[in-house]
Amino acid sequence: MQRKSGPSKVTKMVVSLSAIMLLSACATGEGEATATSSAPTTSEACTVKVGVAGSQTGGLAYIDVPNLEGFELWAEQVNAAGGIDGKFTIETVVKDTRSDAAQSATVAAELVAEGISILITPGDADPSIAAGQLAQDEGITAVSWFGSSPILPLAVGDHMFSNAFGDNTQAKVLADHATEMGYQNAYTLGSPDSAYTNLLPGYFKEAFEANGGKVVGEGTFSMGQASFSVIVDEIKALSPAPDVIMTPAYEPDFPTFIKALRGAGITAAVLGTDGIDSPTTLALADIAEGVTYTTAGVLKNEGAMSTFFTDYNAKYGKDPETIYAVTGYELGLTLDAVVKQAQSCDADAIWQAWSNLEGAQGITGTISYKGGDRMAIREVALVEIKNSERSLVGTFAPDPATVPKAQL
Amino acid sequence: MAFWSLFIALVGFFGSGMSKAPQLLLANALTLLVGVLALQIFSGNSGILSFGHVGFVGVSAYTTGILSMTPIVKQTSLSSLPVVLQEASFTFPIAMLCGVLVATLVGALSGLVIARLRDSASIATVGILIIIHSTLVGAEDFTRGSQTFYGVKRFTSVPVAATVAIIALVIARWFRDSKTGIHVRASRDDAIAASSSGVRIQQSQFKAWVLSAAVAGGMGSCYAGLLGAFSPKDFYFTLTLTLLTMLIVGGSGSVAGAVVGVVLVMAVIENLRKIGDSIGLFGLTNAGLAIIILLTLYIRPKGVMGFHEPEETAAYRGDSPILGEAVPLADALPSGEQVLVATNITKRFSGLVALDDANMFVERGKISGLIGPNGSGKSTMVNCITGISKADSAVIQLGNLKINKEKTWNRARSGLGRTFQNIRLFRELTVVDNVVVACISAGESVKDSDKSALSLLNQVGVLQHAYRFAGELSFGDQRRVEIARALALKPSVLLLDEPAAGMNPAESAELLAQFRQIMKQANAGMLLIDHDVTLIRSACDSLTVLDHGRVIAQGDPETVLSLPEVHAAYLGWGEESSDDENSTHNER
Repeated sequence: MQRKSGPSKVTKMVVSLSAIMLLSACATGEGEATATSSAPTTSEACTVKVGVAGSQTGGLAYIDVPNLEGFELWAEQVNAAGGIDGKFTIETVVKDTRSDAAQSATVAAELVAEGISILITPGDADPSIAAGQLAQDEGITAVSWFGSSPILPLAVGDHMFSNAFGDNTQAKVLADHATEMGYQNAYTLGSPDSAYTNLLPGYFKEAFEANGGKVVGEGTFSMGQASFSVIVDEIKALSPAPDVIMTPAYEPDFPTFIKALRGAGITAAVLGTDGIDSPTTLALADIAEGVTYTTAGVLKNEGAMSTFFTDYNAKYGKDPETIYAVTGYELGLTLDAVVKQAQSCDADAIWQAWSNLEGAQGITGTISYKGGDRMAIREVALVEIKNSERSLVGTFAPDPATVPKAQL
Repeated sequence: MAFWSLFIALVGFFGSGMSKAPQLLLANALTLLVGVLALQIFSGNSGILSFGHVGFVGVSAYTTGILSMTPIVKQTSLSSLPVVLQEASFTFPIAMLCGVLVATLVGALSGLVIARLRDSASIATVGILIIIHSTLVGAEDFTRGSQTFYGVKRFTSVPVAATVAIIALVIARWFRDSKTGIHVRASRDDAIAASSSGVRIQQSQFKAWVLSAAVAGGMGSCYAGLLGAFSPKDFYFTLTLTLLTMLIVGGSGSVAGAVVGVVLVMAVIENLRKIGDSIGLFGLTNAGLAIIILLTLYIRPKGVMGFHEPEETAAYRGDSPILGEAVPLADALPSGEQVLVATNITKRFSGLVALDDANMFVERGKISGLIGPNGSGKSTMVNCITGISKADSAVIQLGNLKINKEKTWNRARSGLGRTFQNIRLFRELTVVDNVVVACISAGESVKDSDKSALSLLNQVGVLQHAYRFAGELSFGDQRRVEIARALALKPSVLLLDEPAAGMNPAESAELLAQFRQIMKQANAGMLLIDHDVTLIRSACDSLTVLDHGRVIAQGDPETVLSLPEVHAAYLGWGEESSDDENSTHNER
């Protein structure tokens, strides 16, 4: 009786080889684990080891990659100058999280095991929380590149921070602007499909009504929906008619919405959020004229930013493409101020200094953490589109006490 | 299976002693393994690729999260939760059981739809994923909507994940060789042959779907306890593609393939990521994954482990299979009784009348022949009798049962066994399992089925091939396996559609002798369709001639074959070997 022969040699080899590879991958991790953190606590020269669990590939790379470029530019400059205060040099260890939450946790654990003094996490809540929890467990400071959901630090604990202003803060800036422009009646348009589009209208409403304004209508849309005609009809039918419309919608919804809105002859002012700070919005030409939105800063080769442009271009051979390159550099400047304060590479000293940081000088303005909810207290830039170009209305740093509380 | 369980147990044992990063990596790999095994249970066995299982993972993750969180955490993060859930705080095993239960319920609900579909089922699973995702986003009071759901205890350690993975492995392996598992695999290989062998495809598919949803629920619980924080987007297409990649690379047809797929893909991801991180080449992982998928599809299209478990393909252990006693094939009833009477069969395909008020009967212990030129309606007749095609009108009596309204599987179980003109075996099943499929339909347990099947294979003379895969056999042997499979239904009527096609006269004569022997043993009647007039003349006790869907002659073969109208309609065309079934397929 003849049966088929067993698994082919190739199969056996492939399986054995991959098992060995997996085990060796684990073993390497174990080896690294023995090199635990033992940074000096005195103000002697030392190296601040920065672990970056960044989304170098995948859906979040558009935030994390430029941020890392900005940060590495800063680190290079600091090290070339002999370190912070001439003695604290920067060592950056970058590991790719592939925009995956589980991978973010693994990577963070690896970095923690390598004895880092501070962990930088992706620019989104889920992977940042997954990674931040591991830093929190070990008493290491974790900072998100630019995750703007205010629940991010609250979900992890006192060692989790974000380099971004909270969505509640940018909503407050928009509400204050609306009040200052004399708008009385507002309409908000959000979407339950993402935390960002879901919560921003609520923060705006809270702040706007606290200022004495009134939200006369609240609409919702599905991200990626084909037509906004029903919503536009609904706005048209409102009485009193809104004089300002606030929406956190971004591509492709924002262009579709504003085309339908202006096409229906509605001339109410439109306020947007940092999601529309892209060339697509500018390309809308006349339709987007007058749209005002919040962002981290205006990316323009002028003023305080021109030195950054020059340095960035020298290192990377191109101009920065998004404001996230600037915010990454600013995270470096924040670390600069923190280490100067801590006079140490020790994780705990860095955390203490980070928690109490006040008035660190960035490119777009100052950055503080003291007295806040561990989201960066930093100026929010308000930009108006004029002649298809970004025009700075002003930068604002609302008093944390007046900002709507983060919705948990 | 014991090997893989031991493998996972060892990984769990050694893994728990490692430091945090490798522990997280292993716990993640084991958690993914549970999900891949869930997919294997449904997609691997049924051949229907599912994109919907990650939905069940999500449902269970949220359920486990809500039920295992402390009330204090829930007060802040889930303030709108109903009071009962607000106050509930269970240990992980109980929360996990609840998660699995909810996933099973959602699986059962969606399974009602999936079970009814075959070719479009894969697309429907995408719909299920989207519906579950939207529900998770919409159920804000329970899930915080699109916002991050946080505060779940991180209880998924390596031993926990390893335990769940071993349980999933045992379930998946057990299911594969269970009655339902064998039936689902048969339907994967050939749906028509499966239903003709008594397989209730819808029911089997439903059971596989629900069981796999439950196992996917197991992954959901582990995933919740691994991440501690998640949102609906974590249970969407990205995770779906990760699991499918692992299953396809490993080989979807076997449980071993699921394990190998996870090990292989994780090994590639981890090693390339580490190399990429160290040299600053971050796209390396994705490029590597793309290459491994392409290589797998190119070199081994069925995955590294193929369709079969290693123990199935391993060198055969012993001597010849142990035969039980010869199985009595049918109740001893007097011969000559009419066991199949099909009257007034009419079948139209749009304007074409394929069968026009045709009649046919088969007597116990006798062979009824059915001949006719190409396109005369012979295969349509068989298809109407077996239920593959629905007759516009017909009265079909099988023994005392009126079966014209029954489904194909039920007609098969009532005693209608058949073979096909173009052999339809379950090619990826072993020869013995091909027969076991029908034995199970006849009501036997898997264990008894094995014995009966071997005995039947012995009777038709292919016992020596019992443990080979059906697709590997020669044409003649495949034909014999098909007959054994039909006999396993303990049929009162055997329908043989051109059984001698492709055989030389000597082989035909041998086959005929075998038929007579089998029929005697089975005490069944036989309906024989063939073009070989010599065979028909010597074999049949009665003969029916079809032309353009009408019966033009019926009676004793010698008399019928001498009729001038039969000559004109049939013999005048010569005895070319035709492909009648194909033409009927086209008509259908």
